Amino acid sequence: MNTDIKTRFYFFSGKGGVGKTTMACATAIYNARAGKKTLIVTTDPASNLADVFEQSIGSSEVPITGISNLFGLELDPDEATREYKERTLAPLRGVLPPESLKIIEEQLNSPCTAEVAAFERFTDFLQAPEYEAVIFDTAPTGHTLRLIQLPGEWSGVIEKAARDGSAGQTCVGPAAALAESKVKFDRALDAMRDGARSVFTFVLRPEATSIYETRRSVAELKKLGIHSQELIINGVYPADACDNAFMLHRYIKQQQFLGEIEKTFALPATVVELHAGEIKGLPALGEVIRQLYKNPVSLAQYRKGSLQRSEPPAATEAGGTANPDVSKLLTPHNGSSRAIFFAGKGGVGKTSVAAATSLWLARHGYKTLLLATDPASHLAEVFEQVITGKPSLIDGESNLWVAHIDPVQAAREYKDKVLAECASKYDAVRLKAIEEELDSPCTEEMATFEKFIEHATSTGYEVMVFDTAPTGHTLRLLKLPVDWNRQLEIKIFTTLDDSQADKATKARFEQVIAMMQDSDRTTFSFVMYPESTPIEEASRAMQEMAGIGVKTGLVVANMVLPASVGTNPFLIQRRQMQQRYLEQMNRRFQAPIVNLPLLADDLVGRQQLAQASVLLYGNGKQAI
Amino acid sequence: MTNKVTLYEPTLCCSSGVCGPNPDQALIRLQDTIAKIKELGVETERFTITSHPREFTQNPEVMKLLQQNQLQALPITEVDGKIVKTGSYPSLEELRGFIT
Repeated sequence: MNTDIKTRFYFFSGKGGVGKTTMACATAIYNARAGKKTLIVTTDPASNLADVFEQSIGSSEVPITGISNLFGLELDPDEATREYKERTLAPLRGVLPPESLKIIEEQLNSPCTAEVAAFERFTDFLQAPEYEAVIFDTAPTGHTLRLIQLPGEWSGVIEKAARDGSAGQTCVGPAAALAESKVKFDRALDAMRDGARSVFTFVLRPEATSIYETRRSVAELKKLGIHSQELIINGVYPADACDNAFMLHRYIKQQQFLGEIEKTFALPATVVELHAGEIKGLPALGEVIRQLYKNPVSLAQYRKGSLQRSEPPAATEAGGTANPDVSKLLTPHNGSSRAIFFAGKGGVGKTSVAAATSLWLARHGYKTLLLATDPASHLAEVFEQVITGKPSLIDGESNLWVAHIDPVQAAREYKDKVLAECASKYDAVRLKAIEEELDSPCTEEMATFEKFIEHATSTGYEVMVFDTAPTGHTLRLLKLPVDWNRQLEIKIFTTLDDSQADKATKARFEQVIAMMQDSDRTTFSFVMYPESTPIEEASRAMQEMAGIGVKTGLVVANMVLPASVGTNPFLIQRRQMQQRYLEQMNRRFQAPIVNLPLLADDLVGRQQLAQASVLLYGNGKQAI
Repeated sequence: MTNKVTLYEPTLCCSSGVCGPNPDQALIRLQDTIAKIKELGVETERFTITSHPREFTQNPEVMKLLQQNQLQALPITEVDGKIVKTGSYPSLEELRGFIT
C-alpha cells in the first residue's frame, strides 16, 4: 500500500430531510469513479443508504453493485452491540455456568453498551488507511454534533479516571485498559480538525429552520476546532417551474433566504435545484453529481444569474382537504390524560404538525403541554418566543405550555440532584470523585431520558404532545424504559442493596410503558411527506414500535401539493408522484391518514399554526 | 506489611453506578471505603467480569465460587490472595478487620 495516501474524510450533516444521504452518495460515486477506493458510512440508525443503492448493506463493508471501488456500511448500533457483546462473552464461554452467562448477556443489553459500541465503531472508521476517501452520511444534526463531541469528552473522562485511580472504572471500560482508546479518540479529533484531511459539508434548504440549524452547527463545530466547512444548498426551485402565483410566492421566499444564506455564512456554497422526480437509483444520482462536481454553480454565481422580483404576489390559498375526523384520537378520555407522539424522518414537519396539533387542542379548552425531545428542536422559532426546559405558557394563549429537553441542562440538573443526595453522606474529596464520574457523557443520555420519564409521568396536563427527534434516536429513547426496566429486574435479582430505590424506579418505567401501550391514553403518530424514503422509514419504525406493544394510531401526510398548482410539467410530474405515494400510504398504514397541504409560507407564528390546525382537524364543530 | 485488596465484581457501568437509572448507593459507599483504605497504604484492584474476564478465569477459587453460586457469588473480596467475603461488598470496618 502506498503510504503517501492519506485518507480524506467527507462528513455530510444538516437538518433531517435536506438531502444529506443523496449528497453523500453522489460524492461517494464521484470519488469511486475517479478511481479512488471509497467507503460510504452512515451513522444514522434510521439510514436510507440501502434505499438509495437499492441493495442491502449491513454493518460490515460490502461492495456496492455496479460501481467499482465503492463500498458501503451502516453503523447499526444494534449490530455494533452484538459484536461488542460477542467479544466480551467469548472468553467466558465454557468456563462460566450457562445461567450466569445468560445473565451477563442480558446485562450487556444495557443502553450504555449500545452508545459505546456504536461510538467505538465510528472512531474506527476515522482511521481507515485502506480507503482513499471515507464519506460519512450522518444522522440529523443534534445527534451528530453529539457524536462528534464524544471523542474529546471520552478522552477527558479516561484521563481523569486513570489519574485519580480511586476506582478507575468508566462506562467505556476500566481506565487502565483504555489508554489505547484514548489515543484513538484523540486521533479521531485530530483527523476531524485537520482541514487537509476532513471537510464538513452542511446540506441545507433555503428556509428559515434549516438556516437556523446550520448556523448553530457551524458555530458548534468551530468551538471544537473544526473549521473546514462547506455548504450545499439543496431543493432550490427551478425558476421556470414557478409560473403560478402560489409557487412564485414560494420561489421569491426561497430567493430571499438564499440572500440571507449568502450574507450569513462566509463558506463555499454550491446550489442544487429541486428535481421533478425522486432521487432514486443511479441515473438520478448522475444528475446530482453533475450539479455538484462537473458543472457546479456557486451561490454567488447563482444569485447573479437568477431573476429578481421584489413584490411577492398574494399567494393563492392552498386547497382544503377532506380529512377524516380524528378528534377522538387527540382528546383525553375517561379522566386520564392523552399523550400524542409525532415521530418520523427528519424534515417531514414533525415540529410544525406537533405545534399545530397542540394549539388546536389548547384552543379547544384542553390544558396542553408540547414537549420537544429533539436536542435540535426549533420550537422557539415556530412560536417566536424563548422555550426552555421548564414549561412556559405561550404568549396570548391560556392553555398551551411548551418546553424542550435540553440535554446539557438536563445533565446539570441530574448531577445536582445526585450530588445533593450524596452531600450529607460523604466528605468533599469523595463528592469530588462522584462529581467527576458524573461528567461522563453517559450522564447526558441518562438525564435526557430521566426528563422524558418525568414529563411522561406528570399529571398536570390533559394532553401532552411530544415533538420527537428523527426516527432512529426517538425509537431508542422510547425503547429505553423497556431496556432499563429489564436491567433493573436483573439488578434486583442479583443484588440485595438498594432494591427499594430500584423498585420505585422500575414502577415509574412500567407506568410509562403501560401508558404508551394503551391506545386510550396514547396516540402514536407518524408524519411523512408522500415520497419513498419517509414512508419506508415510518413503516420500519411502526413495526419496531409494535414490537414493544405500541400501536400506530395516526398518520399525517404533509406537504401535499394541491391540485391547483399543477400548471406546468414540472409541478404536474411532482404531484403525480405524490399521488402515487399517497395511494401507497393508504395501503400500508392501517391508521387513519390526515393530509396537510404544502402551504405558501413556512409555519411560523400562532396565526399560521391555527390555520394549519384547521386544515388538519377541521374547526372543531365535530363532537369532541 | 503490605496488603492488597482485590475485588471481583459483576458488570457495572461506571464505578459508582451514577450513570445508570439509579445511582447505586452501595457502589458510592464502596468508592468511599476504597479511598479510605488506600490512605492506609493498602493497594486495591477492581475487576469486573465483562471487562477483565481473564482475571476471573485464571483464579480457580473465584471460578469455583461462580460454579457453585452463580453470579450471586459476586462481588468477591480477596485480601492478599485469600477470599474473605462473597456476595456483597465489604464495609470499611470489615475491610479493616481483614487487613493485618
